[in-house]
Amino acid sequence: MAEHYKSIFESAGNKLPDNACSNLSHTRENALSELESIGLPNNRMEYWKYSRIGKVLKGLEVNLGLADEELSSLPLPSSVEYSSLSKAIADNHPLIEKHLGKYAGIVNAGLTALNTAFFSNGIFIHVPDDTVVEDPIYLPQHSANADGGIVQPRNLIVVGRNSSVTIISEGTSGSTDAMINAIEEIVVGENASLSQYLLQNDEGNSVNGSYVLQERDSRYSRVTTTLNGTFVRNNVNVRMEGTGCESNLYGYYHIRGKNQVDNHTIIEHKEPDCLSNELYVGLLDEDASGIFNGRVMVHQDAQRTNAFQSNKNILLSDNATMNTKPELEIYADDVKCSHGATIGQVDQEALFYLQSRGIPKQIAMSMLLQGFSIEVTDKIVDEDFRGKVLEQILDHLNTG
Amino acid sequence: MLSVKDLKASVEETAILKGINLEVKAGEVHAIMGPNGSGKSTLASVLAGREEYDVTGGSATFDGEDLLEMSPEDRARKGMFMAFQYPVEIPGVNTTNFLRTSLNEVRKFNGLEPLNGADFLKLMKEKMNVIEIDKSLTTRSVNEGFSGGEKKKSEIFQMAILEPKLAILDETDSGLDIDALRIVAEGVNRLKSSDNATVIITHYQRLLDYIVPDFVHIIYDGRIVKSGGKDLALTLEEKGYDWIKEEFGEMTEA
Repeated sequence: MAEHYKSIFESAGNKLPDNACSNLSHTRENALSELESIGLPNNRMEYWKYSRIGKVLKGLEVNLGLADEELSSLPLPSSVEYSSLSKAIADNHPLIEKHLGKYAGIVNAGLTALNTAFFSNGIFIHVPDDTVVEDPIYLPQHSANADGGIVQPRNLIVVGRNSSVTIISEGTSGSTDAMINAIEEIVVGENASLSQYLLQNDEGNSVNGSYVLQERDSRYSRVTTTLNGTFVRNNVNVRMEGTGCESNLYGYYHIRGKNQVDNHTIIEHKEPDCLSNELYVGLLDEDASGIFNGRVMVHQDAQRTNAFQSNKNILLSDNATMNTKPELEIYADDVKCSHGATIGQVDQEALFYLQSRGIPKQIAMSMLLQGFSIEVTDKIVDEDFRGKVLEQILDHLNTG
Repeated sequence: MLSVKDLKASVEETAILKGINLEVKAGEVHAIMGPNGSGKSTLASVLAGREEYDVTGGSATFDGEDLLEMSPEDRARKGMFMAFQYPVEIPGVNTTNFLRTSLNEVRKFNGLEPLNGADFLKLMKEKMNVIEIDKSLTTRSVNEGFSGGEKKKSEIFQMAILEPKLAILDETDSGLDIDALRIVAEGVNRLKSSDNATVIITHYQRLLDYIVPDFVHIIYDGRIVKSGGKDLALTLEEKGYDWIKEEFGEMTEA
């Protein structure tokens, strides 16, 4: 197995976007060494326990796909820099040198290392300082190309000081004999605000790693809705590097069949007076399985931290399973932290109440389950996209 | 309208209703009173169609149709309304949407066109004046965070929207302060007509100061042991339930 990835890397030759002036090749080499020593994840690793990653990766090879990312066709404000990542690298964009590979930690993270060593393309977005972008930016969907294997898309999003933007992505469509191994690095600058909305409603396997760095007084919100996907793993890592940051991570999932959705979040409070808030709710039907693992670290200096976390689940079938695990590590003494997790069934009293007002059982059920998602979907501020998400949630409920 | 004959029901094999007889006709107001544990709320639950209760004998018909065979939603759609003792909180389900879905399901069942959003809001506004309910309640999730009084008012508000033929008020007066009680009672009185009927299930005589019943029934140990006019309620108020227990207790203890 040794040198396995190195030989693939060498065979890729100069096909991977690189830049002689940047330290990218050095970054790639480091990632390659890390990957060579730890390999890809398996179920014996605590971080991947209960996940079906082992099964998914079986027989999959690294895909060196160089498919061009289709750029958004929507008009963008001219103030926003938006291009394919390979172009930004070729252009020697200074932000590439400054940020790319700086936040997606490769240590003990085989898939992140794999992406860093082999990523070929993705999207680069830069919202300059003092820029309010009114309309949301839609990211194109990552897709596995025809060759299958493990595909490595890579995005870099930099939001400048005092700026504000909404970024929407729909789907990472793969196929069952492929896996998307997407990594995005996000910098939310001082007093900037980024809202990110994701809708995952496609088949296939994907691991989506997000590494968010927040500078002081910045706000980051993320709402992820997962309705489909054989195996969907979302790793969200938020690091608050300044005081006064606010971070909100929300998720709704409703899966069935043998699908698995796995939300892993890590929030690091490194400075005082920051707020983090997590709410993940979901429905698991048929033989589906869900995982939620929410880790919150409050470092010693992070006094007056507020950190809240909640994960609520409803099992709609006897065979559905949910594993939920909060992990709080608190080293500061003046903090407010709470966490809670529930796994239950539909409230029969509420169902009866609706029925006794003339609402047929099936519609009543669908109202209750939709109501369950509202707490999360209400956090999508963009009305058009919220409408779209609600519609798909309802469709999904009614096609059970 | 409602005809209950020798109705027997049990929960987890414990007999609770032991032969209830009750005839309710259009235009009438009936009060069913009784001490705690006498079977009042079980009667309400069986009539509403709760699954936890097993009907072990007797019958109940609503407008000539077998009530006990109907699903809870069909009972509602045919014109029965239950004001719950403990209205359940339903987070995430907006009150206005819920009411509109409810009304339109009832209308659809009865061959009427569903109301569009604008017409529904107009109706809601009209009924809000009748019930003196705060508008903000309709923008919130069903019963979520409502005070006890708000929950009970909301039940009567729902009743005003649905205009049932038969309303059963299950301990609607319990836990209400006198102002809320007055508002709830006035709401019920305004909705009363010669075409509909009301059954008030209560522990206290208090509500009957505001809603004057045509008939009062005393339920004890799963049976209606005494029926009479509104004066019977006053007797209960004066003498309490002890004399009922003394008079009818022995035969059931045996």
